[in-house]
Parts: sequence; structure tokens; C-alpha cells
Amino acid sequence: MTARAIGYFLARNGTFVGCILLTIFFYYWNSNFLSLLNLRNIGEALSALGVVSIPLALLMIGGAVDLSVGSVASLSGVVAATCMINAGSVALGIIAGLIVGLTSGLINGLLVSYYRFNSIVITLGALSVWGGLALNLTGGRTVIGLPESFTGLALIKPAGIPLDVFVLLATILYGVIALEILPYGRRLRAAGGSPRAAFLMGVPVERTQLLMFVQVGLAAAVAGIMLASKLAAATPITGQGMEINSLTVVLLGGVAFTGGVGRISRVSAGLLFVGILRNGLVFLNTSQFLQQILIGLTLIVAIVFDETISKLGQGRPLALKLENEHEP
Amino acid sequence: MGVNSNGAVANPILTLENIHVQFGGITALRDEHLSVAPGEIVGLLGQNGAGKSTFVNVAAGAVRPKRGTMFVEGRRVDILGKPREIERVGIKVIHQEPTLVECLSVADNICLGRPGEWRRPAARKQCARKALQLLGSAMNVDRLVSSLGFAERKVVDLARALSTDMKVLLLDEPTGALGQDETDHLLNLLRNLARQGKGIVYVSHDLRVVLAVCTRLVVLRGGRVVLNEPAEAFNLTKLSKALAPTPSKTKQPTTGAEAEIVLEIKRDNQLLQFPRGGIIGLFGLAAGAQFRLTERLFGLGGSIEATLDGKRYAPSGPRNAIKRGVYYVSADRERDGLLGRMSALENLVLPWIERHTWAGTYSRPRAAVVFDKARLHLNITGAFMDGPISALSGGNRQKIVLGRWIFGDRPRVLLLSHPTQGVDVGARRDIAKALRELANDGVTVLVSSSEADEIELICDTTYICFGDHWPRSEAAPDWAESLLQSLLVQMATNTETRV
Repeated sequence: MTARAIGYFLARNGTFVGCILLTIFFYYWNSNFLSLLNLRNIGEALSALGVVSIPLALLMIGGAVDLSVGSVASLSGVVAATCMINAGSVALGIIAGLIVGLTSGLINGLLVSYYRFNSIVITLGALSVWGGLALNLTGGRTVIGLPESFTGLALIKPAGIPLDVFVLLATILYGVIALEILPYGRRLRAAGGSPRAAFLMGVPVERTQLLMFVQVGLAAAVAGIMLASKLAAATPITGQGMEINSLTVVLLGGVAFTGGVGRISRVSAGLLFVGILRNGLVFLNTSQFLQQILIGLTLIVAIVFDETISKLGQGRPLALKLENEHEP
Repeated sequence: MGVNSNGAVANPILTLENIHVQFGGITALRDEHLSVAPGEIVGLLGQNGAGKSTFVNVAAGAVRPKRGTMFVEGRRVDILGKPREIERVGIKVIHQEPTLVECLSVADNICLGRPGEWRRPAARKQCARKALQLLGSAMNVDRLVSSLGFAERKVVDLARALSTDMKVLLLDEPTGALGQDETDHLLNLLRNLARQGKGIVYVSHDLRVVLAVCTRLVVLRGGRVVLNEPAEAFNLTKLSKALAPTPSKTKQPTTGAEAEIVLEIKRDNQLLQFPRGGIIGLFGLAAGAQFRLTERLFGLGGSIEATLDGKRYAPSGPRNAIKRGVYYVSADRERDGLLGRMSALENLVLPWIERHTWAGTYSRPRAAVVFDKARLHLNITGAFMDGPISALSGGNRQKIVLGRWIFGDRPRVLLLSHPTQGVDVGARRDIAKALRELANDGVTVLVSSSEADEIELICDTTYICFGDHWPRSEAAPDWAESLLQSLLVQMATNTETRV
């Protein structure tokens, strides 16, 4: 086991190792950290973020980014809640919320994939538009008085596991199947990493990317509806910060902004890392603000570490030195 | 003007002596001389790789010769000096590709590096208009260079260079993209500059232009000067002969009734036919019409009138072309052909990845069968199929791209641009062999190229792609030489090339 081999291992699995180290640390501090109740808390707290992060990872592997997810979640929640109250039908409300997500995904996808506008610019604009729309629609007020059959959804716990966590697990499973098991995933990576070459190989690059945008839009709507159900209320700012948080998870998961690379297992580890850190810091009784600082720092350290390791593998100077150490 | 055996003229303004240039193991110039007298326009001619551009680049300071000396007006110039220092002694070089700043206007580009005019916008525009006037162009000087087409950029580049002061001017293929009017203006301008006592070196493939403007001709072959004579003694035929000295007959187009015609392309007044199992070349200039034709056959950049297996063939894009069994290996395989972040195996099977599945899921073992086939036939070495494609050597990466379209799925028609460019001799033979096997299997192979050697190595028959009617030429001894000759004849007798 050379230093280089350890380096490679860490570069590929750093996020997992981080999760384990963090868990050991918090467990040492407080043995309740690994209690079933707390694990369920972690899962529940992560569910909405995870439901958005996995599709966002797929979109970024496909070569684009969506910054509007938070606003779409807010608007979907608000629209779903309003429809439910006015129409008296939970199903109709959920469908209305999903239509918001679908519309947002289609608009972003058409502008970015087919008309080739920069995805950061377009979705940053969409972030403002949808967020503003949610505030306008409600006059800035929280929508309350949701039907009990809807708020009860969050309380369903088959086998003691909340429904939210099932949705999260289903999303992760979907991500793994789409990216790593179906042949579709390879086409997506080709389209994201080398769009021109992929186009010349007959990959429908635009359609592939559009589909990813639609998925992210729908996922954001689902997250918004989940949050409304859990909080028994829909506020027009529910999703604020979700774009930054999900982007952090995806980047911690080793997905590059330039597209083409990334694994769902690592993104899931990134998600878990954020969840463990947040939850553990509550155990340590630290301030919420420290949490934010630490998550940001982790992201920076992770990226720097990643770059250093991959340079160590390609550019020779450091690697050569390691090799020479073993010579007599 | 007297020319002695050394190629030297009396009172030269520019002299290059004993210039010896090597690239790797290949000698590009063998101790050669070139001198230009004031008032002379020297035409520098030769085939691709004969050493024309090397001479120009040495004079520009862009290529460092192994040995040799340079004099301007009798004073020695440091030949290993920086390009900027060489420019300061009065040598101006205009390269084939325009070098302009995209985000600046025409006026700004022309006046860059002229502190006098640069300060005031009005003066910049005035100066730019005057410079463009020299070439008879009335272009709007406020336009951004990024909005200009290639021909307009060329005009701006020429205007910029020609409106400054110089003693010696070297031009590398300046008229390629220009229209008739601009070409005439340029030639008049060059004659004027010569009359003022400047020395001019003019590199071109366009023999008619060379004969129209040059006063002396220098022909290079394999890094040696093989001819250095006044231009008056030459006409088109004599000059074409001097360039490709062993002419052999170009065969008349044969009516191929033996083989079934798979692909037919209708040009303005010609029907190009491609039979089953044939390897047909499309030979022409660098960046010539044959490459545009190939791209259109793959659904890129414009429509085409063609039939495939008797049915209309008008691909809307690569996806559509691939569905009809028409595959394309572009010349820039690094950029157009590689998925840089994926494995060698994935690179090989991606267009047909849906077929390498088991119960709908991607099956690596099934894809690996294709990889083994490609590895065996193309002699791909040291390839670790699950490793990143970037870990392979350049030649092996090229073979992966070729292998994708040859072994990934059997093509109906395979289009290739410069299939052996940038690979070593052994790999060239492997590729030629694989293409031959493919053709024997009944696939129609189209090879577009501007390298006669490549056509000779791979093809049975070829079209000479220049002018209105493209003549056909069958494989023969010393085919490459005769192909070049035929192309020169086409260029001498035709004006333009359309797809």
C-alpha cells in the first residue's frame, strides 16, 4: 500500500470516508447520535434536499445547471396548497404543483438546450421570476389550513420509516438506474462531457438535456409539496437556499461543473455528509451559523483535495517523488 | 535580372543562405538559398510539404533553422531572433490564417500598434478606410471582426499588413478566400509595391495567379530548390509539368456497370456514383470542396441531392445519417470523435450502446466483444478498455475512433476525412488494411483527402474535386504524382469549386 494508492483511494471515496469519520466523531461525543430515532431524523431532514440533489446531479453530468430549484419548490408548494384549499381536492392540488415544476423545467430546458443560452444566466433569472411569483401570489403570507389528508401524508410511517425517506430512497435508486445501469446514462455523460462529439455520434444532445431539466423541475415541485405537507403550511420562501444547498451536495459528490463526470453513490454520500454534519452540530449544541461556515469550508477543502489528488495522478512531479522513496 | 547557379540575384534586398531545417527526423529544407531583389515578385511553388511555408516561416522568425544566415539589404539579421525583432528590420509576413482580434472593430484592428492614429477614433477610421481602399474594399470599418466572414477577415488582415511600411513582403496563399475583384486589387497593389522597390515572395497553389503576378519562379520539391527561373519562360502547361514531373495519364471516367451503385450524388452537371464494395477517393485542395461534400453526406452544413440504395437521401443531421447506415470519421478526431471523460470501451460502442444490453441494462461483457475485435484488427496496443480514453497514446486514440465506425456496427457507406492523418507508418497500414477488408465485405468507402499519398495508399479510384466537372482517376503506378498533376490541370482550367 503506497502513499499513492492511498491517495487514489481517497480521491475516489473521500466523501464516504468523510461520512464515516464524522459519524465516529459525533458518536464518540454522544452515543445517542446513532440511535434509531436520530438516524430517522437525519433521513427526514435530508429528504427534500435529496429529492432535488439527485436529479440536479444528473443534469450537471449532462452539462447544465439549474439554480431555480428553490423558487420552483416554493411556488409549487404555494400553488398546490392554494389549489387544495380552493378546490377541496388533494390530488388536484398535487397535480397543480407538479405542473408548475414541469413548466419551469420545459422553459429552462428549451432556452438552454435548444436555444443554447447559458444555463447559469437563464436559471438565475428563473430563480427570481418564480420566487417573485410565489410572493406575489400569496402577498407574502403563509398559506395555512391545509386539508388533514394532505398534512397526514408526512406522518405515514410504514415499517417505522417516514414516507419522505421512502421518496428519497426511490429517487436515489432512480438516479443509480438511470445513470449507471441503463445505457441511457452513458449517452447522458457523453452529451454532457463532449457535446460536439456526442452529436456527431448520433446522440440527441438537446433532447437528452431537456429531459434532465424537466426532471429537475418536477423534482423541485415534489420537494416543495413534501415540505408543505411536513410543515402543514406553504410559505412563499420555503425553498430559499435550496439551490445553494443542493449545489453544495452535488459538488461534494464529485460532479464537475463541466459535465460528463460523477457517480450517484458519491452524490448520495455528499448528501449524507451534509445531513450528518448538520445533525451532529445540533448535538454539540453549537450555533446554526457555525453549521453554515463548516459546510462551506468542507466544500472548499473537498474541491482542493480532489484537485490535488488528481494532479498527483496526472502531472508527475509529486508522484515521481513518491516512487523514488521506495528505491534503495 | 541575372540569376546565378546559387539562386542569388544581384543586389538582393533579402537573402536566405544555407537554410537547413529539420522537424524531428524529417528534413524540411536542405541547405537552400532564396534571394529577392528590389522590384521582384518571387513565386514560391511546390507540393504540400515541399518546404514553401518553412521558408516563409524561417524569414518570419517563426521556425528556427538548424543553420543558415539571413541578410536584409546586405546587413546580417539574427535568424534565431524573435519575430518582433525581425519585423523591425522591415520583413512583413502575411500568413494563410488571418490573425485578428475578434472583439475589436475593423478600424481598431487595422490601427493596432500605430500609436499615431490609435488615440483618436476619427483618425483610426480614416486610416482604416484608406488601408481598405488599397484593396478596393469599402467595408464598414465599425463592424466587429467577429461578425466578418473568412474572406472579409482576409481582406482586413491584408489591408492591415499592406498599409504599413516594409522592405520585404512574404505572402502565404493570400488569394484563397478572396473574390475576383479583391484578387485583382491585391495583385495590382503588389505590382505597385514592387515598382517602389520592395521585394515580394508569393507562395500559392493557384498557378494562374502566380503566372499573372510573379517575375521569377522558384519550385521546391522535398526540401530542395529544383527550379529557379524568370517567369516569362512559363505558361500553365509548362509550369504544371515542372511541379509534378512524372505525368501519367488520367483515365477517363469508367461506367461501372459491374457493381451495384449504392450511393449517387447529383452535382450541377455531374452524377457521382459510388459502387458497393469500392474505396473511392475524393481528392482536392486542403479545405476543399470534397470535405464539404462529405460533411453534407453526414447531414452537416447544407443540403445535398443524393440517393442511397435507390431511395432519396437527404439527412437532416448525424442521427438521421447514422440510421441510414452512413457513418463519418472526421479529420479532427481528437475534437469531433473523442468523449474525453469516458473509458476507451465506452468511446468505442457509444453510438450503439442500446444494443450492448442484457435485459435492458448496459452489459459491459457484450460491449467488450466489439473492443476485442477492434483491438485485433487495428492492432490497438496497451489499451485498458475500462481506463479513461485520455490514458491512451494519440495513435491508439485515433484507432479507437476509426474502430468505432468500422467495428461498432457494419456501415452501409463509410465516410472518412484524412483517415491516416497524424498516425505513424505502421498504423497507416493497419488502417488501410481494415478499410480494405470492410470494402471486401460490401461496404462503400469514401475517403476525402488533400494528400495524394493517402489516396494512393487506400483507394481504388478517385474523383479530382475541383471545378465544375470532377474527372475520375483509377489507381496506377505513381498514382500520387499523376493525381497532383491532374489537380493542377483542373485548377488551371477551372475557376471555382462548388459542392
